[in-house]
Amino acid sequence: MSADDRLLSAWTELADFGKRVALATSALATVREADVKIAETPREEICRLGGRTLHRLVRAGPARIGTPVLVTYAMVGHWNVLDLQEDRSFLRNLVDAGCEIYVTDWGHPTLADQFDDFGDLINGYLDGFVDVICERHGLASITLLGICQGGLLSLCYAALHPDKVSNLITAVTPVDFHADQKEERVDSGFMNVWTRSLTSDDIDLLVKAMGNIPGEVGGTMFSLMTPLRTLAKYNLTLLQAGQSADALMNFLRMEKWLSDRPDHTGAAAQQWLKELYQENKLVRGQLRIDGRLVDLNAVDMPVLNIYSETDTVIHPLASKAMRGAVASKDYTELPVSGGHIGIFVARSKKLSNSIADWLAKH
Amino acid sequence: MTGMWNAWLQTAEVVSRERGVESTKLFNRLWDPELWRAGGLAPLLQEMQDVFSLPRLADLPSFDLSPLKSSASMLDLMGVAQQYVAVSIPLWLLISRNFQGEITRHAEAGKAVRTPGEALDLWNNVVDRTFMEFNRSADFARLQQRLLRALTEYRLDMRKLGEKSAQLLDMPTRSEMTEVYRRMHGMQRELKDLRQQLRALRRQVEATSTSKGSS
Repeated sequence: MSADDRLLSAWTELADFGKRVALATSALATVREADVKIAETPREEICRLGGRTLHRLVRAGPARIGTPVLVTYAMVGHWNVLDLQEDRSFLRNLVDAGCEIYVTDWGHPTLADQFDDFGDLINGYLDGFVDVICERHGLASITLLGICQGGLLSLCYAALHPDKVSNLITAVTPVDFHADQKEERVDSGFMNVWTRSLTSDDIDLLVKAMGNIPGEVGGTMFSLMTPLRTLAKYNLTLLQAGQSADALMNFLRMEKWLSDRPDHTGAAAQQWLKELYQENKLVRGQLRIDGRLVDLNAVDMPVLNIYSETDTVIHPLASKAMRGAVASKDYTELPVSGGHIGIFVARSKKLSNSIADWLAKH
Repeated sequence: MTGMWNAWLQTAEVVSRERGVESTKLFNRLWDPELWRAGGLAPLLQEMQDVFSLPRLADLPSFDLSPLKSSASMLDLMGVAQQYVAVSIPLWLLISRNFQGEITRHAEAGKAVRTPGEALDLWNNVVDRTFMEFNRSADFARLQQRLLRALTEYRLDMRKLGEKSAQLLDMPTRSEMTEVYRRMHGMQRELKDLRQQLRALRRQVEATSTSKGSS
């Protein structure tokens, strides 16, 4: 390529870049905060326990799958990412696939909630919601679907109350918090590395100082996991998204979800970081909740474990460790491709259909 | 007279032994750069308070360095924050070196970078990888730990100051509210347990009356 050709090519690229910036700027100029809505699938509030709410997604007709499903997301981030927009809604897709869906809403913990620990989350709120759902449907047990930390809470619930759980579905759920050391990857398991670099006193001091762990701490950790994405978000990524109205709205909806970072109750955070991330007590059979040992051998109901090989937040080996840990004779693994959140905000209905088909057989 | 002087000499010896040696060690630590790097000024002040304090005397104010401690915490936090920012300078130099290395490797493999777009893609990959490797390094972990500690210590020291002002103005303090929340949490748990016991008893009674009715 001659020097003139290279110069012409560079000018052409610059002009194209300028056009793209102009397009993105005018697209952004037309959008107001009120236009960006998430969690639009119709739902009804069933009950409240303290600051936690149980929702039910409204369905048009009867459910194909008889046993209702209680979906529990993590306390880190809000559940409404599972219902991001009409064509990217994991929950709506499950409803369309024939499931009766209930959702645990952890709300926005305040300092009044700082002493809520795993015992409260599992034996208090989750158990209370399970009882309400069982009573509404005249059933003795329901299906639990837990995502990430919600999966861990659901797993512990299933171990402590196996008679109330007909099926257990976990997605991108860590079970062995030290499994990342068996296969060190630079693009996964950062939380494991970070937590292990702190002492137990550091975590206690953080909780003592803050009461709850601020949502911003989790946000910072997630930013450190994907540094380029963080650096490029408001320049390259936004520029790319601004080339189409749909892409821009999708970007803004994700931003809306990300900006809503609930705090994590202090006592539960101490258990999460110390007893799980640092001491790995669950898989070692040493985790106690309300004084009771969480014995994963009590998890004998059908289990569907979904994980992603490209998950940057939860190392896939941490999820796959469930295979050897539970006593279920009907254990199925479902590897999916996509990011930790990406698999739930994708357009594809493959994941929700796979879950519904599995439930139809159980 | 000699007895008095002897007594004072003994006093000087006791004070030197009980307080002097420790305080000298503490003051010497002020010259240690590692103390400043690790945000150790506020903890050092706490140790000094422990060394110099006397038993509480009811009608006299106590020896309290807490107003100084909050300033020390702030200095520690500023120092660690500067380290946090400063660490990025050699990191960007490393990224530039890695980028140059990648450019050379691509050229040697016959896949020379031809357009600004290709160069940007390569740069982004190098930035991502270098940052991810650094974020997982022991150096970064140590810095993060220091920053977290400095932040939390500062917050706790500011809270102590704030609580003193709140007490003067007769306002609830954070510590008092935390205690209220702790009691409330305990009561909620007790209530939940009582409800469960009540439900179990009701079920027992219903089961008993059902079996009596059927017999």
